[in-house]
This record gives sequence, structure tokens and C-alpha cells, in this order.
Amino acid sequence: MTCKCNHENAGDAEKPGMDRRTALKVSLAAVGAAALAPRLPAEAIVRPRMPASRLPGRATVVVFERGGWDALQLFAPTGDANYALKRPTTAIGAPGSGAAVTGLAMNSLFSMHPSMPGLHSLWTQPASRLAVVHALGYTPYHRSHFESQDLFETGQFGVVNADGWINRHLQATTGISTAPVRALALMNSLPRSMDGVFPCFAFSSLESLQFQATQPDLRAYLETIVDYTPTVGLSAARAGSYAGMKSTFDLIDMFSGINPATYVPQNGAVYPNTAMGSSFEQTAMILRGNLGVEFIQIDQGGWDHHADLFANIPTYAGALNGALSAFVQDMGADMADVAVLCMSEFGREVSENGSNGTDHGVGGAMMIAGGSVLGGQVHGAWPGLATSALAEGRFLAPANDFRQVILELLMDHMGGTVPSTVFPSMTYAPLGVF
Amino acid sequence: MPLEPNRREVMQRWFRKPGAIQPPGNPQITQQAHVLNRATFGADAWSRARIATLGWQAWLDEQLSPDSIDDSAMTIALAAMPPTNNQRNRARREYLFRCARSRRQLQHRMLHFLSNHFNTDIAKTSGVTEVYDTTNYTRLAFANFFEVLLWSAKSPAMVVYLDSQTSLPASPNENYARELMELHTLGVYGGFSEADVSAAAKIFTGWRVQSGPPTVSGNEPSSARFAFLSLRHVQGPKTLAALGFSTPGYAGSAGVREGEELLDFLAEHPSTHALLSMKLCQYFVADAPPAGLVQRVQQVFATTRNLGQTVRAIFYDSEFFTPQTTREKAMDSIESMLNVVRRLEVNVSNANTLATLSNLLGQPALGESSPTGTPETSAAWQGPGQVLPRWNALAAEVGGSLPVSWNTLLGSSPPQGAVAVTDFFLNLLVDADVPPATRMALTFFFANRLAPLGSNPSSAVLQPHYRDFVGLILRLPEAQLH
Repeated sequence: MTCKCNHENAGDAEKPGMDRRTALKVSLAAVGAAALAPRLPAEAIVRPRMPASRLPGRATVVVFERGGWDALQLFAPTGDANYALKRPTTAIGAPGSGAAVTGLAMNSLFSMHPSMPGLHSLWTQPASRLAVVHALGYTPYHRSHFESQDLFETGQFGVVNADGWINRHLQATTGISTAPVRALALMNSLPRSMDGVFPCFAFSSLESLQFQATQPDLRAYLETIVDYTPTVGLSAARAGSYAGMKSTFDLIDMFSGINPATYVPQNGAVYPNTAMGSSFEQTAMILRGNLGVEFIQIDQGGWDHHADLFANIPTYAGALNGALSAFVQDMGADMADVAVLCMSEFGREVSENGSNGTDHGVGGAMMIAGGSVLGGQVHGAWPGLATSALAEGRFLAPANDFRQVILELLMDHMGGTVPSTVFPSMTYAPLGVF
Repeated sequence: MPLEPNRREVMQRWFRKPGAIQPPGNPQITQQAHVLNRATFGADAWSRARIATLGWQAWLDEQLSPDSIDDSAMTIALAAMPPTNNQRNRARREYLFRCARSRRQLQHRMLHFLSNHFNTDIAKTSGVTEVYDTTNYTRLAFANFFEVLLWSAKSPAMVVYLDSQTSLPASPNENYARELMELHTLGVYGGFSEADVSAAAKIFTGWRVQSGPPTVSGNEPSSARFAFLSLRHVQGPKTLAALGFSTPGYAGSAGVREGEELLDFLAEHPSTHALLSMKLCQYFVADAPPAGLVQRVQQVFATTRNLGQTVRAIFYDSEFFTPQTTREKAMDSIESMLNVVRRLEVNVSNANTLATLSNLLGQPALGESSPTGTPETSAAWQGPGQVLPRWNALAAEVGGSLPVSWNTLLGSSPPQGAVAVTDFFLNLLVDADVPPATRMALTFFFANRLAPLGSNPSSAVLQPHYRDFVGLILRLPEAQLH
């Protein structure tokens, strides 16, 4: 999907293709000179920024954990007596409890899944930059994957075809950057969070961003045809085909300076040879490429574990652990400029089902790393697992609204936003994560 | 690699000429070509000749009676494939090969639709159950919707994929119950409540697959066959209050009737009629199909409940073939691959190639992991994430792992000269439906290729240039649409 953003439709016929190329190069040069001087709208609230580091500006990496991850396994409330009662077969035990599977101590109430030792060491280190917001969600809640993912990615309830929250933030802050690509997703299609009128882009990998042809003249002919054919008045699908190809040529040019084959991770980081490892490594390359990219989304799917948590969760938690740990190590001091948000569309039902799995629930958790995150802490209210405290007697109550965490990210880490544009009808009440 | 400056300037001047660009909105193609675009995975020689003989209406009616069409060429070719012990590989390549080569194209267009609507992921299921799935969605392509729904609910692949297999009476697994109502029938705002999901989950307890003795019929896998286990079934009455469905509960093996009655209820529900009609219209007509057309189609669906009648109503509708609907759908990545194979009459001697290509294109056959299936709307297939693999993988395979017999394709009196060659390939690959300036640029491209070759170059000398030319045309914006 190329957004609703034919950034070059009107007057195509009179607009030579080389101008598009030239404009791109000019804007890239400007970004290279760190053109991210904040010029926010007057109503925006601007927080003081952290001391500058080597990256040209702040960046956010969003990892959408699709399928509804089981927050009660990943960040298990082992200190809540109701936990083991409601999950007789699949509860993670407190460290040293002698349970079949025991977690890693986070604090007196929570234990981290044992498949995440790298993240746990980030949690326990001094001045930790890894935090969790538990019992996270929204009301009125939905337990459909697709509905809830939409709500998490748009933050707009009751609005059909709302733009995504990243897109709306970019719309609200058009003045602060001239970078041609402020947000991109390392996946085949644009995620809902980036969908909207502001141009955002999706491609599967840097390696894929090459025009391969049997003969070199093919590209020149194709590019001329794509650039010069007017698309004004064309039907949506035809215009979309042209717009997608223009974006493709732009991206090929823009990222041509980054060579994945020669990238060497810093600080001795070794990325695991997994899809997540590759996505995080490419994220590091792009951020270090100084192109002015502010948002990168990389998704991890497969969390819909209706069956056999002990067999399934370690695979996914382990993949995230290895990749995110390597990324943090690679970025080193630059992590002060990078925040990583891992979120999922819901948590699972508190009680396990008969398949040793869990069905769709409500309250989940978000994990946040980097930036100026106040880490080593579980932020927000904890409503507990007593049946009387559960939504409908079955689900962890969504005591902490995910939109407050995102707003805090934008206001604090990213340097400011216009809250009324990003989440209309929300009153900003930060949880103190940053 | 830049063009020589003067050549580029010449090309650019064409695009600025008055009249170089036709005003949008006129159908550029014939009704026969439009019908072939939507009812097949790309016009091959056989279907072009057949529709020319019969006219589009008789051709369509023939397609709606698939058993009347001799498909032995496809089955013989399939049987001649190199054997594979990998059942997942077998399921994937057979699916793609049948779609590519069957003369019963509309039936396989419905297979593509139904196996996506009732999506299962071969990574979680198995090869044998996916072969069984494919066989049955083909068989049921034009059946009554209830029959299809009932079959999908008992499909061994579905039972495993949406976890009915591990559901227990003490704590029923809600996965199937929810997606059944949200995705397969009513839609997310179709009128069911969360309590309805819980009640439906109880109704489907005991719906399992288990192994049994081999049978002779069809492709039914003996290792995974539907079975109702009454001991695993929640007993007693169940009510879906928001939907207004209730069952007294049936004892013993009759407990399976509770689920069958709920499926019947859901198949009859107006929300289901609306969802299926809209989705079929999006698949066959346009992302935003004309409201009147959708309404008429929904009427037919609600009256007949029959997929064949509904599909027929779509193609016969007065708003099916209009300026707003021709070439107004982006192909998904599998469709784009099959379109190339069919229009170029590629001889697929090893269908593993197709399965591998579907991976490269980012749409692995039978491998979509989300129960939603892949989107039916164009925009999802037009971004750089889709464009790049098509440009790079697909066009590069033409003449390689997708072998083309240029002599056969061009016939006994091949087109001579750049203009005729351009017309020939544009007609073959995109129904000649490109702006005039694009046609001029393409002609210029091929003329430049011909110039150094002297007069009467041999077919062997021309072939690499045909391959490049076809690669260029297949990369055009119009070539991603059908």
C-alpha cells in the first residue's frame, strides 16, 4: 500500500522526471546536514530534548506483536496469588519456586519469561532503559484481532478509515523535517499505523531495493514512462499502480547509499539469523544512514497461541529477545535517541483453556526500550487478578491506556506533537514512562 | 543507467504532445477481454479462441458448468510432474498448476477466492489436508453457500488451523467460533456479541480430526479425517442471545447437529449475504463496486444462496463492463504470476517453480498466516513491497525458469518491425490497453534494439530482445492490473 499519498499527481505531464530525482537529492543533502530543527505548530507542547548524540534526530521503532501476545506469560505476575490458581497448567513460576517453568525476577510481583535473558539483563542493569506497562489496553475493548489491531494502530475509535497514529503525528509536525521518508515499514505492505495522507513507505528489506533487469536500458525506459504519464483523472487502481512505482524508484534511489553487505554491527553485537534479527539489523543500518527516518515499524506475527503455551511462547519470546538485545548492543550510546515500542492488540484471557493455551483477552502489556525510558520498572496501575477485579470476571482489566504511552513517547522522546491531532478527545496524562 | 540525453528528450517530448494521452474513462478493451481478465487467471490462446467462437455469454455459461469442459490436458500434465515426497510442496504446486493450466478457469478463480476466504495456513496444517481443501473448494466452487460453509467447518485443515482440534469442554477454545462469525459469515459488525462467541465455542466442542482407515473416495486423507467426539462436547442447551439462535442440545453423536444448525443459521443471515456479496463483487468487479450492482448481486445471493448463480449475476450485470470497471483491479502476486504464465503460454514442466516464485513474490501459496486471508483490494498490492519482487523476480524468470517458446508464440508469420512487434506484445500481455505515449516509447525501445541487427535477423538473434521487451512490458503499471 502506498498511502493515500500520490505525492506528485497534479501536473505530472509538465513535471520532468529528472526534477523529481534532483529534488530528492537536494532534500537528502539537507537531511544529511541534520535538518531536523524543530518547527512545531504553535499549539504543540515541546519538551526539552536529551543531550544530542550521533544520530541526526530522534527515532522510534515500533514492533507490533501480532496475534495478541500473552502478557501474563511474558511478564508473569508471579506475586499475584490468583495467577497460579487461574493457570494451573501454564503459569510461569517465580524464580526458585520449583515450578516446571520459572521466570526471571523483575520485582516482587512480576517475573520475565525465561526465554528472554538478554532483555532481563537490560532490565536489571543500573540506569535501566527497559520498561513495561502492564494491564494495558483501552475501553470499550474489542477481542477481535483485526478490530483491535486497527484500534491500536489508529487510536481512533468509531472513525471509519482513520489515519494511523504515526501518520497523524507526521501530519501534525510537517514543519520539523524535510526528509523525504520520515516513516517506513520493513514489510511488504504499509501497516495501518502509517496509513494516511502523509507519505509513508513499506518494503521488505534493503536488499530488495534494487532494480534488477537483464539489460540496463529497461529501467530508463520504464522510469520515463512512469514519471511522464499523467495520472490526473485516472481511476484509483490505475493511479495507484503509477504511484506505487514512483515510490519504488524513489526508495531505490534514496537508500542506494546503504549497502547491507558491508554493514558491521558495533559494540560486538551479533544479530541472530532470524527474520526478527534481520529486521532489527536493517533498522540499525537505516538509522545509522542519517536519512532522517523517524519511525520504523517491524512486525512480529504468530502470537495467537490458543494452544500449548509452553511449546509455543519460547520460540517467539526467544526471537524477540535475541534480536532486540543485539539491536540495543549495536546502537550502544545512540540508544538514547532511539525508543523501541513492542505492543500487541490484546492480552489473553486470564484463565487457560483446555488446550493448554489461552483465548483472546483484554489487558495486555507494552515493552519499551531505549530513549530516556525509566527502566527496570513496571509502570501504571496493576488491577490484579482477583476475579472481582477482572473485566467480565475473565480478563485483565485495561487499567492503563496505550495511547498515553504513545503520547508520552511523542511529547517527550520525539520532541513534541499536537495531542489533539494524534488522539482527539484524549486528555494527556502521562504515566511517567519517559 | 541513464538513456542518452537526446533519446530521453525525444521520449519526453512524446508525453507532452497534445493527444498523446487519451482522456481517462473510456473502456480501452472489449467485453470479451474484460470477461477473460476477471473470469480467468489471464487470457491464454485456448480461452481467447473459445470465447471468440462462443461469445462471452455462452463462454461464461460453459465455464459455470466446469464438468462439461475437457480438462484432460491439465490432469495429464499434472500426473507427469516429477514426484515429490513433500506433501506441503505437493499441495502448493498442485494448487498453482491447476490455476495456471486448467481450462475450467472460472472454477479455479472461485477456488482462489474460497481458499482465501476460508484461509488456512499450510505451515500449521499439513500437505494432505491442504490437498483435500483445494480439491473440495474446487468441487464446491459453484455450490450453495451453506454446503461450502459446512464443508469448511469440517475441513481437517480448518479444524486444526482454528484450534477446534484442541478445544475441551471445560474451557472451550474460541478461535474457530469467533473467526467463523467475524470472517467467514457475518462480519465484525454483523450482529454477534462476545457472549455469542463463547456460546458458539461450546457448540463446536468435539469437532475434531482423527485418523481412520484409508478410503477410496476422493483425496480424503486417512490420517486426518473429521470426527465428532461426543465425549468432548459440552452438553445441554446453548443460546446466542444477540443473534437469536438457540439449541436445546443433543445427546450423543447427535451433538454435531448443534453446529450444523448454527452454520445453517449463519448461512441464512442477511449479514452473511451482505458480506459475501460485497467480497465477491470486490474480487470480480472493482474495489469499490457500483452500489446498484452490489445490491442486485446481493439479491440473487439472498434468493438463491448459490455461488454459481451469484457469480453469473455479477458477470451479466449491466454495470460489470463499464469504463469504471475495466482494468480497475490490481492483481495479487499469485494472480500476476499466473497471468504471465498463461499469456506467454509458458510450458511449466516442473510446477515447483511456481511455488518457489510465489514465495519470492511475498505471497506463498496456501501460506497466508492470518485467518483474514489476503486482502481483496488493489491498494494492498501496489506498494514498493509488491512492485519490487514483481519487477525483479517475475520478469527475470521469463525465458529462465518460465521458459517461453517464442516461435510458437509468434506463429508462422511473426510480426515484422518495431511497430508490429510492439502491437503484438501489447495486445498479448495487456489487451493493448496502454496510453499512446507509452506505446510510442515501447516502439522506440524495440526499434533501437532492431537497428544494429541488420535486415532479417534470425529468430535466435531476436529472442533475447523479445525477452527484454516482454520484461519491460510486464513491468508497466498497466500490466499489474486486470
